[in-house]
Amino acid sequence: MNARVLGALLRKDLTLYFRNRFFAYITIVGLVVYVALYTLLPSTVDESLTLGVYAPTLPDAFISFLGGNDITIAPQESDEALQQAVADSKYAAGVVLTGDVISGIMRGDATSVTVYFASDAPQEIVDALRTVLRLAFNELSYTLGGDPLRLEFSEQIIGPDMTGQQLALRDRLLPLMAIMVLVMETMGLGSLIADEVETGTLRALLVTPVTVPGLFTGKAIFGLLQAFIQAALLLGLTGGLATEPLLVLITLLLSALVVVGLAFLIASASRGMMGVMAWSVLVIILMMIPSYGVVFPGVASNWAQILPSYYMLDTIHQVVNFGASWNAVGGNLVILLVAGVALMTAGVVVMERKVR
Amino acid sequence: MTTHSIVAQDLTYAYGDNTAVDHISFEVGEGEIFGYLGPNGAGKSTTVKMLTGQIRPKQGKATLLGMDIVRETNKVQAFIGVAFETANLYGQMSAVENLTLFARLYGVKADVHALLEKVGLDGRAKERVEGYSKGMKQRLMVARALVNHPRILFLDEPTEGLDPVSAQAIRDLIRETRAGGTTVFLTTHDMVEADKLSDRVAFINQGRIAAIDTPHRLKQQYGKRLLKVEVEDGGGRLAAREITLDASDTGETVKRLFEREKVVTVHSEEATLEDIFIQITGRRLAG
Ligand SMILES: Nc1ncnc2c1ncn2[C@@H]1O[C@H](COP(=O)(O)OP(=O)(O)OP(=O)(O)O)[C@@H](O)[C@H]1O
Ligand SMILES: [Mg+2]
Repeated sequence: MNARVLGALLRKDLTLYFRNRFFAYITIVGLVVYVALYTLLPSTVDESLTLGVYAPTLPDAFISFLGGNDITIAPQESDEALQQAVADSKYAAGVVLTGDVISGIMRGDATSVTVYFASDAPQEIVDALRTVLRLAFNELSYTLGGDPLRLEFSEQIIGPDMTGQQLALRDRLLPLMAIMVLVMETMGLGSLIADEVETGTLRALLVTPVTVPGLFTGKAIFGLLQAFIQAALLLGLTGGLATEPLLVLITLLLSALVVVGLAFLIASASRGMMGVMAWSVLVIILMMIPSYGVVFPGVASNWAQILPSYYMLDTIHQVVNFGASWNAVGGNLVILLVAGVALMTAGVVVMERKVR
Repeated sequence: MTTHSIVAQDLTYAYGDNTAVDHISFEVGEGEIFGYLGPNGAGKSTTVKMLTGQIRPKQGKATLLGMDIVRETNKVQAFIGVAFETANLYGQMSAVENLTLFARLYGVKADVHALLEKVGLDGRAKERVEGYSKGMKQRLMVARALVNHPRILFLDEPTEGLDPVSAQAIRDLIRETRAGGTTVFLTTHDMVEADKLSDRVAFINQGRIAAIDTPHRLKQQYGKRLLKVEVEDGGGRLAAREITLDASDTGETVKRLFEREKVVTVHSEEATLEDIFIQITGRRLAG
């Protein structure tokens, strides 16, 4: 197997891939739609500011005074109810104004006010609420008659650690789109291989000096490059390569290896195009499951971690959205490498048995 | 012809329990057109697959150009061209692209357009092959098999389904290729074609070789030569008479016929390869 033969095979696969209308459309339109979607989605988090307040000694009308243009006040029955509501993300924050607090404020003593923040409240909102609360209490103290307040906020974070929730939707969607682009290649490469078996062109190649290992190398390189380039293009166009480009690219390459291995397996399990469609749709749906966990934190359960796509997704998410370091995602990369090599080996072995 | 392009010894292949090729041995001389004849399912294509390195013989061996096909598959494959029984072309590519791809795989420069002209496809060279008729695909298959100027050309029923003109063009191309020194292994069940083209033919039946020789000698050996005579009876109607040549009393019989009857026409008739095949194997050719 030499470079000339490899070049000829790759060129042929590229021609065939893009002459297949379905794949040509899906590749180009997919990429355009993903990038457009990312660009069109708001880059900021859009959440209404509702503040839960538990103030047993104050009349509701008085509590409403805390509110303003952008903030709605929701009085609560009890401290527990307030905490629960914040934990359920009904409100971004909650304030407790007990009788003691009120009298402390009235006396002008240094007073500690308890504030609950939802753990998934975006940082901008937490900051905004702090400012609003400070302004509101200042207003209150002047109204009540006098000295500037000596207030201290005792802040409590309520709810599961859902760091991802602080991201704008489009940033949460980005790793999902990257995985989508990657796993679509199972269908693309799978049918490219199955088609050669089905139409017998594979036999024509194999009576030339092209060998089975050479042929598989060509297909694998084609699939790797295609999945990798598409995903890299997507992340490149959406700023995903800004922080740790090398780390992200290596993640994509390892992910592409996993995908190519799957494509070989799908091709050897299928007879013709329809078989590839059926198998790859199943694989794509499975592989997308971990993504739901990023879009809707807390939804995906632990079993999703048996899927290799979990590690693709987690790594891309951590690195692109939180600037995670090599150390932090090293374990993921090792798992991806092992999964990639294992799937690739299995795929080549079963495909070879089918071809011979 | 002292050197052999192909030497098959005890070649055997079975699909499960079905022995498709059963201990076959033969030799094909360099520059020879070797007709490989047999009914459907006789094992012709299976033999071609073994000789071209597509499947491994279960027993026996084959040597092409002095190289073992199993041990030196890729080396051998650089020197052979194969036209398959059923078209396996890249449908989404044009004829030119198909041929160019294979020229690249062999690492040879090929005059793709001249080749396409030879098989009569030069007018539609840039069209996608999926739009070709069956016969056009068949012709492109032959062109593809020639792209590396092979020293041995394998053709598995190359004229099957072609119109007479196209079939003739392919036969001319086979002769022309042989004139350039290429050995041709031609599989067919068209006996007339085999007779016209082949230097030697092998009859294969149920995986075994039933006879192998030049068409001429096979006819001499097995065929009865006949004299077909038309005579006119008293009422002006024609009647047919047959006289076997090569019999001990042939001269006497002919003499008697001419003396007693009114002979209108006389033809000598040789047995066809098909007659001989049936005689040897007890089977018809067409499936
Ligand atoms: N892929 C296969 N799997 C199982 N059996 C096969 C396969 N290919 C051929 N056979 C069997 O092997 C025997 C020989 O088949 P082969 O294709 O060599 O015949 P052939 O002489 O080329 O016939 P034809 O004139 O129809 O092309 C037949 O009995 C056939 O059923
Ligand atoms: Mg056949």
